Formats: sequence, structure tokens, C-alpha cells
Amino acid sequence: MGKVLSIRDLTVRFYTYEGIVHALENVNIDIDEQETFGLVGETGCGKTLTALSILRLIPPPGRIESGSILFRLDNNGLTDLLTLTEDDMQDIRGRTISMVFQEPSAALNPVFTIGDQIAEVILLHQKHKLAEKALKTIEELKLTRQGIRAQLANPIWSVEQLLFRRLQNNPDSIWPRIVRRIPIARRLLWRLRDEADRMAIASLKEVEIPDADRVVQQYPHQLSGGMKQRAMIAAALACSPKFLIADEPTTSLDVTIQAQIMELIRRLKAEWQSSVLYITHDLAVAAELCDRVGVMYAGTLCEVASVDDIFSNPLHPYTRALMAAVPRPGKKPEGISGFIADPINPPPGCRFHPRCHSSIEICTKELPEMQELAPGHFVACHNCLGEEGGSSS
Amino acid sequence: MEALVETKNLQTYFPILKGFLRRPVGAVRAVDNVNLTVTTGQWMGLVGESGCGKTTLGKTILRLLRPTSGHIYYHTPPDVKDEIESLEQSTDNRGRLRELRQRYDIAAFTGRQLKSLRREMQLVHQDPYTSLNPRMKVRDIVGEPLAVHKLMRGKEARDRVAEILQMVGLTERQGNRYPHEFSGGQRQRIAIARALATNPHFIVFDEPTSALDVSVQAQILLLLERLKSDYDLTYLYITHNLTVAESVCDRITVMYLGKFVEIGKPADIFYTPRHPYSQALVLTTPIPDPKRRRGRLILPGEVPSPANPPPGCRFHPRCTRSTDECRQSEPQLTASQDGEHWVACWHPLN
Repeated sequence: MGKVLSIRDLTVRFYTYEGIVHALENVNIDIDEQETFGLVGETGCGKTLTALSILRLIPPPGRIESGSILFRLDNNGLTDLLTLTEDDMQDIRGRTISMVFQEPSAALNPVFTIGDQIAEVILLHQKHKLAEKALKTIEELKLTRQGIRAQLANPIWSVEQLLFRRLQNNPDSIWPRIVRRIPIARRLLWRLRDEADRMAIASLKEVEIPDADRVVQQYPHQLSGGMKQRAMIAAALACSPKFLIADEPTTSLDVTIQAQIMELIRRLKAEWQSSVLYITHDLAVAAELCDRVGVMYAGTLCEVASVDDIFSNPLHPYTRALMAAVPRPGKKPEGISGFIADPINPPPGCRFHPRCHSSIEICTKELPEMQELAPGHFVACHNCLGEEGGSSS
Repeated sequence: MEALVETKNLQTYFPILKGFLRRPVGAVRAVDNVNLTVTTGQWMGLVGESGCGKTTLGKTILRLLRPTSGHIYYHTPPDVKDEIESLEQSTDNRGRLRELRQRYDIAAFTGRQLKSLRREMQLVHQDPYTSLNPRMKVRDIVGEPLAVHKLMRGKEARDRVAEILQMVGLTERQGNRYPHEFSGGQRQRIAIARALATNPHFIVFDEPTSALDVSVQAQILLLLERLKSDYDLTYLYITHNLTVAESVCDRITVMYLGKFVEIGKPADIFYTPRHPYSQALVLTTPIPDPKRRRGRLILPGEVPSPANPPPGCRFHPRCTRSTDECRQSEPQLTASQDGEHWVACWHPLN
């Protein structure tokens, strides 16, 4: 099993009026094939920004300062996504890497039907597949239809065939683009749209939406939260991507619906053999779903380990504090003293040291490096083995 | 233990108005025949999914919503409750019933009575980002209940505000700032401070931590615990998170589609749930322990609309154990042998 994604020393800053926001600082993440990697952390720690950096969707005034995002686009090695052109990147988004956003009611466009929004992805990325399907339909029509109407339609079908063959051989063919600009001839492309709608229905069925034929014609406000999230997942998976980023897909849902969605992601991931970057603030969800977990704090990655390791043997003080804060049956939660670090003026050295109980002198001066303390268990802490700390607050 | 707050057959329906004349064509039965008892000093948890009527129940108890029918008692002597009940059965002596209800039943309170009641009962809203007026300074927000109820003014009020702010872990100087300068957890502290200003005995918390991070949630829960023991408060804690309720509450009520399905001690609900819905909630709630990935029970479908609830047991379309009995007649809450664990199900588990 090789790496699919490898983020190296990613640093993202936002140049705002109030000052430079140190949003991400030297983040390193490796994700293997067919792995579910969970990124856990509190609000504002940079989980979503890491995901957006992979898709190069950091909104201005944010900038990727340094680092590289290596992704395996094909079987010959890793490509740095940061060096690609915007057109190439647009090709990747939704096709090879796609993303499910946090709030389905905010991520879906309220003025388009669910079918439109899923078909958009398919029309953009799967033109050759659509052309292939359209050709098949035309051939069937030619065989089955008879009588005067078929004879009249025959020349149109032939032109359509010509067009779709070109499209099938070269998805970026110039001909459909020319045809699209000619008012009446534009109708020749309707069949593509039809096929896209049919694929949208199929992908909705894939995510277990009952009555998919009706749902494609509905608008987002007509669906419940769980249904909307399913539709989002359908749109994200319409092109069977190799890599799926799920940004808190279940946060706004009820637990019974959350369980349904988690089961769905688990099943689809196994079916498509894709890797998943699962972003969540809920350690419990990560424990249920992920193979490996990375914990983030204030723009830095503190600890990466397999899910069993990190829950049975958390080494970073922040991870431990976070675990203690989660309410569990029969145990009272414990708070973390102090407040989350200010990203504009982050504390010098380790960003967690002002709230850390085992901080020592070096913590206030140097940002700790990631070190592998056990096989596969990486920790960024100067004093994670718990020597008696001097100061605590 | 004496019951501090008690509801009897409480119903809150929202009419559905249709047509030119806005005639009611139906009703959303948000809270339907609910009997809740919160004893003095209790931390009662109310758990359920969104749309099940938890918030409506909380707001009805505070009379922020008008109940369709039923009674809400606050600090009412038991013999008065009995008298009201017996008077309701018969048709004579309506005058006495009206008089008693106006004196003791919150559901019949009006005007001045409600205002003095609200000094006793307070609410903390779900989202601290929308429940604080962005144009008011924190000390004015916290001091407003004192002014509204004409409890204190001038220096006395200022000192009281400073004292309350310290109680919830903020400093007096932070009172001069505006809400946007605070983080989510601090804002929730401000909202709690505002609720505490009038020295209430009963506070309804409507999902106070659902918008917060886990570490902040833990801080707030600890704060609530401290305040409760320091000031002898009684809480009704509304949440959708069963693990939070389990870890802090004294008693948990599970609600589904406007009805109570199970009431019991947290450990009982969590380890030996008797209603299939509670069991599903317990099993689908993720637990931060990868070694305990338990048998999953995934409920099919979604919560039906409360405007048109299924007949019989409201849970039967999603229940795996449903029979004809469940489809036809509605189960009532019945107690277990020790009288602590109540369940409304024809075929309870365990």
C-alpha cells in the first residue's frame, strides 16, 4: 500500500488588517491508499484549512506560504498539486479529489434542484462517459423506432452521433463548445443532459435515498438535513473519486442519522476503494470510523497515530486533555484551563505550552518537531514522556 | 423529595393555518400529554433528536409559549394539585377551579404573575452567538434582568453584576466589553450570568454546549455543577447528546416525537435501556474508544412529522420489535418494579 497523499511542511498564512494570521504551521500528513485518516481538533485549529489547501481553495487574503502537497494522480509517482495550473486543478476537483462540506444546507445552492447540482459535476468531468451512453441510446432508438417520425429524426440522430463520437474520443473537443453557442443547434446536446440526469438518479440511489426519481427534481429546502447530506455525498462521489475529503459531514445531524451517514461513508469507501480524509471535532466519531488519527492544535499537528494507539496511549498533553474533556459514561468531563492560542500572536515555542501541565523551559522557546516515539506513533512535544514540569497554569 | 416543577398532561400544539381565512387545518403536536416531574435540587436531562419537542417543552414550562392544555405547577402544595385534579373531573364548582388555577397553575398565569414568576425561572439559550444583543455591553446584558424586575439600581446593581460575572469566571473589567469580543465559551458564560442575575431557583438550559468545543463544553459543565451546588439550583438540561446527559444529570428523560418514551437514572438508561428508541440512541452514540466499537443498531428512516404522527406507538415505523399492538394502541409510561425506571413500550427490553 502506497501513499496517496503526502503533505509536507504546509504553511498557510492570512494577511489581514489586524496582522498575519498563522493559520497552519509546518503540517505534515501522509495518507495511505484505502485509508480513513481522521483529523481531529477544536474550532479554528486549521482542520478545514488543511483540506482546502489540498484542493487549493484557500480564500484570499490567505496564501500557501511554503510546503508541498504531493498527490498520486496516476500510477507513476506523486505530483505536487501546488505546481499545477489552475485548469489542471479544476480538472482534479470533483473528479479525483472531492469534498463533502460541513453544513449541507449552506453548501447546496438553494435555487437549483438536487438533480441539477449533481448533474453539474457529471457534465463537467464525465463528458466521455455521457457521450458513450448517449451513443448507446441513439443506437437503440435507431433499431427500435420505426415509421415516419423515426425517418424524420434519423438525420438528427446521425448528427448527434457524429458529435458524441468526437466527444467520446476527446472530452475537450471543440465541437460541442461551438454547437452550444448556436441557438437552435444547441438542442443537439440535450441528450447529454438527459444522460447526466439519469446518472444523478443512479448516484442518489447509491447513497440510499428512497424515491430518487422524485428527489432529483426537488430543491434543497424540501429535504431534511440527513437527506441533504446524502445528496452532497452523492454529488461528491458522482465521479468515483480516488480521494474523498469529508469536512464534519455529520456535525449538524442527529445521532441516529449520523450513524446512517457514517455507515454509508464506510460502505462507499470500501466499494470505491478510495481514501478518506475525515475531519471532525468529535473524538468519538473518529474512534468509530478512522484507521489513523491526527490531532491538531492552533495550526500545528501535535500527534499522529493509529486509532487504537491514540486512544489507549495518548502521548501529547493536548491529546490527553482533549480525551479527558469528552464526556463518557460514568465519568465527569474535565476542562482544559485557559483559552485557545491567538493565531495572530501565537505563543512562542510550543503553541500549547501556556495551557500545558507538563511544560518545561524549552517549550517556551522552540516549536517541537514531530518525532516517532513508537512505530507509527508521531508526537510533537518536548516533554511528552511526562517529566515533572516547572510551570503550569 | 418535593417536586419543584411538575407538568400534568401538558400539550403544546402549533396550529397549521391554511387558506384565505387562515383557518386551522391541523396542528403540529410538539408536546403531547407530557407529565414531567423535577424535584428540588435535581439535574434533569431531557434527551431527544431535533424536532422531538424538547425546546418547546422547556419554553412551555417557562410560559414563553402558551400551552394548549394541561397544568404546570411550580412549588405547589400536593393537596392543591389533588384538589385541582378532582375539580377537573366534575363539572360543578368551576369558580373554585378557576381561582385555584389562577393562583397555582402556571399554565393559567397572566401578566404580573408571569413577570414575578420569571424572576424564579430562567432560560439559557442554545446558541451564544445569537442570544446576546451585540449592541449592549456585557454588564448591561447581565444587569438588564435586575432593571426589568426593579430589584436593584445604581451602585448596588453594578456590584451585583460584578459579583455574578465573577461567579461564572469572568472579570469585572470584561463587563465593559461587547459580546463580539468574546469566544463562544465566554459568551455562554455571559448568558449563564444573565440567567443567574435574579437569583432564580430553576433554570432551563436549552442545549447550552452544542455550539461549543469539547474542552469548552467540559468547562461549562463544570461551571454548571459548581453553581448548582453553591446556589441550590434545579436544572432542566435539554440536550441531544446522550453521553453529556449521562455524565452530568441525576435523571434522564428520553423524548420522541412529543412524547416521553423513557425516564430513569442515567446509568440505567445507558446500560439497560428498556425502550427500543433509547437503545438505538445509546448504540448509535459514538464512544471515544475504538476497542468498544459496539454492535450497531441503525434505525431506518427519519423522524416522522409531528403534524401527522403515526397512530399507536409513535416509534413503531422505525422499530424492529413492532407488532400489531404497537400500530393500534398507544403505550403509557409504566414503572419498573423499583419505581425508578419508567418506559412507554408494549414490548420493553430487559
